[in-house]
Amino acid sequence: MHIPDGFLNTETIIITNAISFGFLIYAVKKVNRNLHPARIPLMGVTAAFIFTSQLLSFPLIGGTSFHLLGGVLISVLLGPFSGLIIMSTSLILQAILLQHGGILTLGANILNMGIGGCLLGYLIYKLFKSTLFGAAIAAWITIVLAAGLCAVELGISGRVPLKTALFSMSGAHILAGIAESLITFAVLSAISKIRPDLLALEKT
Amino acid sequence: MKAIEVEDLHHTYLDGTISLKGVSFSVKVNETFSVIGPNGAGKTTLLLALCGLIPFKGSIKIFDQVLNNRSIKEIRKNLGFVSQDPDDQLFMPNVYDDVAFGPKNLGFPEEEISEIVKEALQVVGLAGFETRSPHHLSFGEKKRVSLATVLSMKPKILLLDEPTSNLDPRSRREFIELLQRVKCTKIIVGHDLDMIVKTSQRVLLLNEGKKIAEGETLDILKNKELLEANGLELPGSF
Amino acid sequence: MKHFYLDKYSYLDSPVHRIRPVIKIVASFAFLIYVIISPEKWWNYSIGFLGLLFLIFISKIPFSFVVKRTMVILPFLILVIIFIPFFNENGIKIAGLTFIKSFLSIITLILLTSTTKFSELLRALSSLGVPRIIILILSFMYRYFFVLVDELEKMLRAVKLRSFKNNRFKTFSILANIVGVLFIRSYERSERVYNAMSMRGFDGEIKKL
Repeated sequence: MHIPDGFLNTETIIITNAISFGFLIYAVKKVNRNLHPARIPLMGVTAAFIFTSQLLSFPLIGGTSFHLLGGVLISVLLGPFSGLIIMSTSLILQAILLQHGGILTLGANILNMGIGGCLLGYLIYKLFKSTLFGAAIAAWITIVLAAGLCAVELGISGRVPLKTALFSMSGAHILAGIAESLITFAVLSAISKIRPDLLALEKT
Repeated sequence: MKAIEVEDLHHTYLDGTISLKGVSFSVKVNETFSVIGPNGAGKTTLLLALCGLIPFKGSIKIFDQVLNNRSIKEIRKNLGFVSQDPDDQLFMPNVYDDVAFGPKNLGFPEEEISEIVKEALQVVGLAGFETRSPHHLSFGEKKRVSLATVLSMKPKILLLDEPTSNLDPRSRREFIELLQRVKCTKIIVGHDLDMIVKTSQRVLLLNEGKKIAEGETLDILKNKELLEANGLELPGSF
Repeated sequence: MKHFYLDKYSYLDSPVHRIRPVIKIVASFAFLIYVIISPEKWWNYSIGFLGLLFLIFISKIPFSFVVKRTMVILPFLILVIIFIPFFNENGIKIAGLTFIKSFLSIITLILLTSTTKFSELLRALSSLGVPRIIILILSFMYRYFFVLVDELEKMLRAVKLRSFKNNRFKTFSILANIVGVLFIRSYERSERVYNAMSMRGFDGEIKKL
């Protein structure tokens, strides 16, 4: 779902970048305000963790396999704004070093996967009273939403027919959403069994 | 004045395990002092307490200054801590930035920093390694850069956690020679008793958080019964 | 993972490698914008393409590497190609232009990152105003990626040596468990790194790199 350069038109690029970097700057200011020094290496190594985990391939039914995106996972563990900073930096690094996603399309990719995953996903998690089940639901929703947003951006840019792409891409990601949901739930469960205190990390 | 004076040191982990039960000892200025004992004796905990990285009960004095929340920042300017795992110590993208990290925080002017880094790398035998990335270094090189990252701060006391662990024989020998060349107070925690014989004047033997013995290196390390009673063995060279 | 490079070829030497990183970043960014906003004329792109080809040639980066990296846009390209019929006669033109712009962008980025050491790239980004916390996180990400991949590989290997059946459900839960353990290990490592940082004078103030 990492949109490469060239697939969005100028207007979409400007709007998505304005929104995403607006949120990102707000998140940086917010996090900087009450920053305990230990949080910096924590965010850094956690960012490396997400970047690394996204490489793993999880097998699901019928020969399919999926990768973890981790927006909801990270927000549940470290909080929505730290999560947004981490996801965004991961996307930035992927774009710069691996050309996985473009540079001018960072705004769109951060909007779809970062803001959607970390901010909206976190809200949904909270709505479900901060339960693992809520995290799983949030994970599913954020993946399908990310696909939908991606289709809308491509559609507005005239690369694909908007309505058709919206339904087909969101539909195609229902299964990916389930995978993300299961992985998020399973990883959080594993952590809660070994170090339950880490699930309260975001309170720092 | 002693370099370090520890009195009645106690530490308990969050889960209730008592790791240090009233340990007292002292270290002379420019002495190399080692802490030995079986696994779980509290050696690393002791090191962390000396650095003020964990809370403790009892008294720790570094060059006659009492270690507490107020004095810790000042005291740390004279300490050089080298972790057992160099990947914990080398956190910057290249060697120069890691070795320069300490001096920069100490406030050394920019112009002096590159000289300081060069000198530190020279001492550890890695001149010219400034632009290398830590993940492309061999384990032995990483250990030496780790030492350089604290030598650049010109510390009065070096604290080393298992400095020779996992080193191949040649790297180990070179590292021991390196330790012998660096002249300052040194606290070494380790299992490598042969290394300790070669580098240390005095030794502290810990077991289950308690001090069992403190004295001249050979007095303790040639005492077969004492070592074996505390989960250790005579160094290979004896 | 000792010999895996994220910034492959950045240790070579060529005229392009020697250009100041800030200039390369600004030029790359300007070129990307130009590609997007310039009128969609074939000769526009041809000049850009030839220029980039020339730079790749003198930078000693292998062409095969560039071509291989371009494959990363394949899924999206296929998506656009599938929808060509929806745009009637314009469909092919859209797909073609999209591919060209994408291709030019990828070559630009490869040129930038393969001729600049990552730490220099970070320094340049910092001087261009990127917030320090982002620079630090990028720095840690780059540094600890290799360490974590090693830990991940060790865990995967250990599991492989102990499992004999190929059960998809079991594999899934084992992998999830491994990721959970990896997070815990990362957390614990960050505590030790913080200790090392504190011992070298770090007090939260992110000083200039």
